[in-house]
Amino acid sequence: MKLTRREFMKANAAAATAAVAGVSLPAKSALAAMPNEIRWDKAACRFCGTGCGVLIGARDGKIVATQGDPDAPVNKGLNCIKGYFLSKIMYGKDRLTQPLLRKSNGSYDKEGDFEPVSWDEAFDVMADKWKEALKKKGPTSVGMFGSGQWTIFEGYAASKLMKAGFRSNNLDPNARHCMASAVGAFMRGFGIDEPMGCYDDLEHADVFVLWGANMAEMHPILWSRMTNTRLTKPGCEVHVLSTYEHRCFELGDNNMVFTPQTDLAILNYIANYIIENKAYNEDFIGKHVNFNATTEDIGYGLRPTHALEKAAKNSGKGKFNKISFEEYAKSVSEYTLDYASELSGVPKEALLKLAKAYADPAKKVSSYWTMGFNQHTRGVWVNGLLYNVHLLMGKISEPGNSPFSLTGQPSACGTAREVGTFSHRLPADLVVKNESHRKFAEKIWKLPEGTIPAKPGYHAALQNRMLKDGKLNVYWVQCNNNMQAAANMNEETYPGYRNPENFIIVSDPYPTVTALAADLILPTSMWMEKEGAYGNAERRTQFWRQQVDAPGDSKSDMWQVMEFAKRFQIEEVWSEELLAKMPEHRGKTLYQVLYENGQVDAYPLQKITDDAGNIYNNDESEHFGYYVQKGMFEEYRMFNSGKDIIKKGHELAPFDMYHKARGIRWPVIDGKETLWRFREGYDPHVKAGEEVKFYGKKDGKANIIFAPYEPAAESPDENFDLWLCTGRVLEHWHSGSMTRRVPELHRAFPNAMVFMHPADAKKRGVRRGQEVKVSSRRGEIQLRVETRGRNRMPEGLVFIPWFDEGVLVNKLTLDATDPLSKETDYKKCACKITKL
Amino acid sequence: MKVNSRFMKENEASTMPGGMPAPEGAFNVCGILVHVANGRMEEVTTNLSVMPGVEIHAEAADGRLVITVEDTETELAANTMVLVNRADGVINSSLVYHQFESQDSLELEDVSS
Repeated sequence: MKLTRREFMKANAAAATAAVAGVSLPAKSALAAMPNEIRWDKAACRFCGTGCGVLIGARDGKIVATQGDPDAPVNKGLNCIKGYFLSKIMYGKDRLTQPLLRKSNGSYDKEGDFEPVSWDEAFDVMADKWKEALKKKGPTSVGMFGSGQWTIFEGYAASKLMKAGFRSNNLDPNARHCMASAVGAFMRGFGIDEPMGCYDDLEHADVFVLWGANMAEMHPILWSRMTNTRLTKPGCEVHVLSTYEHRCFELGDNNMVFTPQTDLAILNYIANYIIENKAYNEDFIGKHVNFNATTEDIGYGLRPTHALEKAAKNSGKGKFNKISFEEYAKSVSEYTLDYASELSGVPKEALLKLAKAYADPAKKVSSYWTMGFNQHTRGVWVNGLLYNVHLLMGKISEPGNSPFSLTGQPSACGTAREVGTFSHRLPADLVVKNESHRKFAEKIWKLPEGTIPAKPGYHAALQNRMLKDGKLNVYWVQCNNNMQAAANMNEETYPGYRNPENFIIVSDPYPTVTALAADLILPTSMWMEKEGAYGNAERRTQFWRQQVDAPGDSKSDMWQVMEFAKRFQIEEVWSEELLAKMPEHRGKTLYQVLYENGQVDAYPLQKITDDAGNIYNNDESEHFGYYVQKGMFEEYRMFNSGKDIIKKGHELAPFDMYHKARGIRWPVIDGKETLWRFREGYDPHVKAGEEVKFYGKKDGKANIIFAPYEPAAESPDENFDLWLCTGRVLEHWHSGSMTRRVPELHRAFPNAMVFMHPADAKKRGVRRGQEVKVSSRRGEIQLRVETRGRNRMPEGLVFIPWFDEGVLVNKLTLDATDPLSKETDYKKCACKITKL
Repeated sequence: MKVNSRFMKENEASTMPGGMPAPEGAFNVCGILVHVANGRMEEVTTNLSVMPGVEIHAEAADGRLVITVEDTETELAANTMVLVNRADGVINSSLVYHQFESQDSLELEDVSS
């Protein structure tokens, strides 16, 4: 029997899909097995934090097919629409393959145009700038902005380069924009980062509550698991809260559109309802919880000169103090049903229904949130207020009872959080401020005591401010598009990049807005062009092998970081005083001190193969002469899995295990993963008889922390009369630097639109499809109006997605941040819309 | 020279420093699992079967459909996939398999199974 290639492809697609559904197909299709010319291997998806397993089909050095991995526990063979991008994102027609430097008349000139240069020339110029800054102003004048899309190895290598090598804590990831508030609340509440539950809760819960998460479009695979449970489990209900109607409302049993910022009041109302009705779990709170109240009136994380900061009584203060249960009850008592309903605009019946679901001891409740909670000037508070509700009921750390923070990036957890690439952190939840933590890191890294600076570096928003103010002068951006992503671009981002005192390096596969604002662009190997590892939102660590080679002179971020370190003699970056403590480092390069330290280079080159005997390249290992990824990972494990670790609970399995498994959830004890933390029977760190132990805290108790409702940094007024909320759409991922390069999807959703209520449009005399001007106190953009479609706005609020580099919505947004987490609030500022 | 962004024409892009040769036109095939709402199977299959490039291969007992979506003269698989996802009666759809080949190789090569 003969099939054309087209028919053959179709038969394969049908066969793979039918296999996932457990259906058998008629003979013709079933004949077509996997074509043996394609080599298949397991990997993790490049996009969101769900961490779906995908199978990568490569042929002739190119990825030509992908499919959902049927053996992956996260997605069980399914992929979302973004799976379609996976095989295409590496093949955009403007892929960069050579370093590009701004030049005039043959030499570097900030005002010059980009010209192709060799890696040698690129690193020469870059190292000169770096050395000049270090000499003039010291380590605080150099910095790096990394990513929750870095592989674990890359984040670790970069953290070492900055914190140990250059002795600068000015390292922050773009995860600051997405996860920092979640981290802050985990540390305050539980003393250890990341969710206690896992995705298995999606099958165990009776009630699902979405708080500021459009899961249907942003986490479709988790959404499909939830949909299955909702449709097959009797009595299962879904509550959806948002500031506008989105796709999730179609499945919702209790849909609530609330006024921005009033989630704080709604959560306190639920706590109040639980207490008034004596529904709380007295035994649980008696044994496992401390009550506290946080410092109030803390400002909005703006520049200290801003009127809002001057007006705040306790700008930036995060201190919380122990109170009694009675004092806590009194604090929430003012959040009555009437008050919460009036403030939020949500009908009383809906709020009551929600409160009853949480308060019913017979119902298992899982709550999910993403940027609605995290990108919030009270993000740490609002995360914490939800934990308060779960803790009051004891609905935590067991199947189905789960407050769960979803993530937007594939390794926001694995790299940014666990490796600790934040300006205040070190691996395994350790922090630079703590002397014993620094000493521990210095011991593992074989560095003299006092190498790592104690003062936290500049966080994301502050990096931009310091670039503008000329205090941060050499700045390396890897694996993200922060010019497009950071708030208040006109006033705070662009001026710093083009400040004549500064030298900006951007590593990216594509000429993004950020890359084009830089002085040096370094072409980067992406995703399957290197061996990598990501950690997803449910603590699952996943590895993949290098599937294809990168085009031209592209090099991975890790290669770039390590190779750049060779440009420095240790004497050029460390003081004589420091060197004298470890004279054996004299005469070495920074590369030798950091990476040829007997640990990172401990594993010899080996042939990388899969079970079928296929052989894979590993460019970094071949270049440096040892198994780099393995060395990085095994040294990193000394922070979380060694005998003398400071904080237990982050244990990882040995490197080789991950290449065999479909991901493993930490803590990994005796080769076994942990699904629910802090509860006896599930978490090996909790001993028999202890029931529940929040071991991140010394006394084993979690913190309920009262925080009040406080208004947003900027609300609509008579001049700017609309709320502006920004976010994503299904077809595009984040700034679109990858997804917009897939031509057919670019055509499907080519440009950003402003979603608004038909009545708001009518009031301004504009119609659907018409171009309008949207302006805020900081800038203006022009785009078309959408009054129908998937997102339905309430009156008074508009939504603009941020993927479109032709319509930069971050010219409008305000760089107000949560004063505690330093995460920007992209969901709330004031704008107006005028007819053109 | 100036480096522009992705909106440049193909012939310009291939002359840019580091520019990749323009890829051949690709042909896409996707395997998709469609979750249909209770009692709406007939309506959904009727609607899907008239969409360009859609072929229904099987129906699972739990209300899921196995379909393939391919590029056609008038509609790209990527667009159709979005239309399927938004069709009335469709609760959810998941991509399972995606492959693309250059247009040229499609009709020339016979594959024996």
